Amino acid sequence: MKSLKNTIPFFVLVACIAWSCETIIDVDLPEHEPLLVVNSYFGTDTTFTFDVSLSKDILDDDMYNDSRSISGVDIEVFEDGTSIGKATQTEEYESYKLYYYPKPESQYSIRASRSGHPVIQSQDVIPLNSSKPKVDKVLFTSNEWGDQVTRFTYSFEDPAGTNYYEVLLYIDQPMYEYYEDEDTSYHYINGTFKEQLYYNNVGADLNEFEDTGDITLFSDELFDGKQHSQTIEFYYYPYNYDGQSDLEESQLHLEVRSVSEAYYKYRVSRTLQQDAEDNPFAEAAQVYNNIEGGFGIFAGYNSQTLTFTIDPDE
Amino acid sequence: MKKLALTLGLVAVNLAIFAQSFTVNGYLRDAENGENLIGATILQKGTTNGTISNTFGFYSLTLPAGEITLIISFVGYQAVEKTILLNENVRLNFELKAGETLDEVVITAEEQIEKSPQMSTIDVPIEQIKALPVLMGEADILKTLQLLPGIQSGSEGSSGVYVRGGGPDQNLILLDGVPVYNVSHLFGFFSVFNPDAINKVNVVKGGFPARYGGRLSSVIDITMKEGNNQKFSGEGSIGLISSKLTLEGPIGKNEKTSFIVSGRRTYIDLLTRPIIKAVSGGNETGGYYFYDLNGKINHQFGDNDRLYLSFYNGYDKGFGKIKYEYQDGDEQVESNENFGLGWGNTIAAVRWNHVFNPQLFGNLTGTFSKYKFRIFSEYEDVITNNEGREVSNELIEYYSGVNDFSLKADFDYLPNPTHNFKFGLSATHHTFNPGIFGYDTDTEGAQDTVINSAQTDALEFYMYAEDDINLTSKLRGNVGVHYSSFLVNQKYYHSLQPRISLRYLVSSDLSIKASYATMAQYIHLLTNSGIGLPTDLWVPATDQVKPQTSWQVALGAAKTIEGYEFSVEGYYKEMDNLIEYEEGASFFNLGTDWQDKVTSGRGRSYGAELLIQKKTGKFSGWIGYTLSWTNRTFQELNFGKTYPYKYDRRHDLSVVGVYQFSKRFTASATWVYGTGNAMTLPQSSYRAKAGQYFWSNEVINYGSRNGYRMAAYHRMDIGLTWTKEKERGTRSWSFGAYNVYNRKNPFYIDEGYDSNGNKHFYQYSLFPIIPYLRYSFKF
Repeated sequence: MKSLKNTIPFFVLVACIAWSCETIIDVDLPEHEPLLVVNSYFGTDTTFTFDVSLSKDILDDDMYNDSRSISGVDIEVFEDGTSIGKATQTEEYESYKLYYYPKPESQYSIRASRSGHPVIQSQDVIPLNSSKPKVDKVLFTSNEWGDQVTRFTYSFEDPAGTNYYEVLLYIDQPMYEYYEDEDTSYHYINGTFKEQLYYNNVGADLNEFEDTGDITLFSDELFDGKQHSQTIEFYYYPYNYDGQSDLEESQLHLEVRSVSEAYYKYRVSRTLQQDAEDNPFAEAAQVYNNIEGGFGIFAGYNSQTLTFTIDPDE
Repeated sequence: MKKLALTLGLVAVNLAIFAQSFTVNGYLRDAENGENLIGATILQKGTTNGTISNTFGFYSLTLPAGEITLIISFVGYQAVEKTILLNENVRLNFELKAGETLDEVVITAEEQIEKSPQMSTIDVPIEQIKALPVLMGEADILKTLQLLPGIQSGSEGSSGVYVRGGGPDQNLILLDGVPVYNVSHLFGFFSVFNPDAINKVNVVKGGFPARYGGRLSSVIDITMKEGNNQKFSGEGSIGLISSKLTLEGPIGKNEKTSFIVSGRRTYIDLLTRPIIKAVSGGNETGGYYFYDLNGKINHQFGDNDRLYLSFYNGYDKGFGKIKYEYQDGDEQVESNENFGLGWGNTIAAVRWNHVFNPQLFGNLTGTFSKYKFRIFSEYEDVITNNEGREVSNELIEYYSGVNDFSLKADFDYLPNPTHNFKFGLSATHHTFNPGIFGYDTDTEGAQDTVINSAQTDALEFYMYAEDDINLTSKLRGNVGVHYSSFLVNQKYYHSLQPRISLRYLVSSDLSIKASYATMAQYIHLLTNSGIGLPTDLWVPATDQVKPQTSWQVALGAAKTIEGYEFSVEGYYKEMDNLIEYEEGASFFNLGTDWQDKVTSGRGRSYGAELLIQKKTGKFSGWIGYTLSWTNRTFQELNFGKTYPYKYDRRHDLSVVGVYQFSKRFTASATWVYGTGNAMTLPQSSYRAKAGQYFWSNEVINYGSRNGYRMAAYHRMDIGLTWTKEKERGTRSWSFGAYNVYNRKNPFYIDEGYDSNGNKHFYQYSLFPIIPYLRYSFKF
């Protein structure tokens, strides 16, 4: 496919060169005034955290400050219009935090300011949760390509009204510790960690920006107010420390997030922008922004996780 | 059916009123070569009774019995006066002689601009098109049309036309009545129409007569020459990149049959291929060329019947071949790689004219139109070793296209000077192949694959009736209705489209005009580039994607002062169900059907146009100015906010002049100015929300879609032509230059780094000053 993709630009280029000498001149652009950038997802399982930075001119290549929050920003958080406090930065370059757990269906807004920059504002809600997800029998079977996969169907009840969801799948993986002395060496399991799994939505009507393989974002357009069921399948190849196949029982965690519209649009449009960047035939894609006077995202979600065990031997 | 009955009733009434009248009818032709004179005026001297000849040169004028004097006139020709005693129906064919020089012509224009009820319509004489300076010396019909108000070019050098804010797919471009889908050669730098084979070009931008339909924004009606029925003749030219040859003449000795055949081919590939081969040591070759072939033959069967066969085939081909041979251990490896692309149109038409009676003229047309695009890459590896010979190969290809078969019947009925009825119907079978990807290999274990958007068949039907009617001595109108329908995937769309154009004659040389037209279009063009790449996909309306619709109103005034035609028009146009690729989607997302990659929205365009045109005399040309606004609103693009169309151009000015110093020496010049194109340019960047799902932690802020304006475009071209009459015909040399003051016009803007590693935006310009030279001959 790559060779086809390159053929057209090649001939266009040849055509241009054949008929002319291309000339290059600098383009004058108005100077960019840095604006405040705030990024924050908030849910019932977390307190408020704000990554705060400044936007920069597109021609500014300085990456030095890109990974750190700026200081001197005043961020006030409101719940249903009433102030619940100011987020603070405990150390320079760290995120701003407010120790407060948001509540479902509440409206939250922020107002942030910093000397020399316009004031920014934003608001969003924590959406209503769906019913707790259920999972039917887990199958260890073959997919249409003949590969061994693990498959199950999850379902939940969707509340009436427009809702958006994000679905993630994790598996508990052992954390191996290694011990060695003069005479012997051995390893042991010292707890577990959650590893995110890639999965496939079987027969789902999702585009590549909604279904990225490791997360799925979708709206309830096709099942508003009804039960939603979706079959997913994934490759499950647990290995032991020695690299041997070790098909023992495992703990899975299915996280269904009810996310706000802002959350959905931001995530999908970011995927889309990254996908479009390397495609010469695609229009540039703009990332959704709900920060008035600046950039970034302030978006709520409500999370539920179902933990269950799978055992290939059963 | 009710409307048809009403029309027939009106006809009956008129027949009764004009019971003591007789009809003079016939054909108007060029005396020298027998070509039809389209749009010539036939006027009863001393009255306002008159008519104009149709596309086949036929006219019909019913007048009260008695002695009458007819004046027949046409632009560039010497007018003819003829007095007859009209006491029966008379067949009178006229052959007009071209003026020695344009300023000798007594009555110069077709129907004067202020007299016609039609607005937003422009005729450009083909000789004027051929006289203008152009890129690489290739006279180009569409590029000349871009110099007219309301018609805009796309990007630098492109032959795409954008009419009153519409897209390139919204132009019904007809060659002898057959729609041409892709009008671009060489990625849009040249159009497919060879001016040597063309007789007439007519453009309608609004106030569409009911006989036209199927596109929203314009009709570009191009009529091929019929072929000289007097003598064998020809013309040709040799230019820097192409040569052309046209031959025409009678078949037989009775002037009843004639033919024309015209060909054009570029030859850059013939020059570059040996060079590439030599430089690469014989391992590589490649090239690019295009050609056009036009042909037409017509035969007259008696006084009332004539048959036309016309044909066009044009093709662009780019190709590359690479050959490697090397030794890998004890294996001898030979690798051959071929890649390329090609696209082209083939059209054919059969037309039968029949004069049913002196007042009723009919034309039956059968047409075929095919457009195909193909891009491919293939290789073959041959490995020879001690065990034998092993061959592996692979072919990847992608193709798309559209095929049309059409049958239509058109009738002109002219019962009296007050009415000119036109009515007809048409049926077209479309086959769309909107993108098929194929993978073929002989490699063991691999599978051949075809991924395609399903081939779609559709049936399009329309019927129309219109009347060009003199309501009073000052008020004239063209009133009609166009009904169309489209059957696709068991989904049936239909549309009733009223059309009306009115002209009020304020004084003998000043009129006010108004028009209203609704249009429906059942096909779409899916484009990423907007510059006319062959990868653009023609797709039908489907059960998921609705047909495009529009309505347009225009108000204007027209006046002629001493040979200068002045017209000013204001227009407002709304378009609905336009489609675009969704953000980030492109034609290469092969796993997805095109219908799932598009989103639909609305468009709006409004503005004012001024045209001052002089068609005849030593000096001819025009000044065209357009002030316009064009925008788009798509719910799923730009977050639902309205944004400027890519070719939204606030100001667009063209100044075109041709001056004939003498019979031997002509000079021409054009100057164009246009507001810069709108584009989406990154403005700033900012840190993204951290997360493991994204490989980049940076978000690019593009501002609004098409929110950045490139620098204004302006350019001057000049041309000089020396012509010499010789014993065996005419020889001429044309010299000129495109972009004579070497303006660095913006083509596109991209990011880049200077030698110190600092990031900049660079504006790339395509064409600097480009001189041209062409030798032409005519015999």
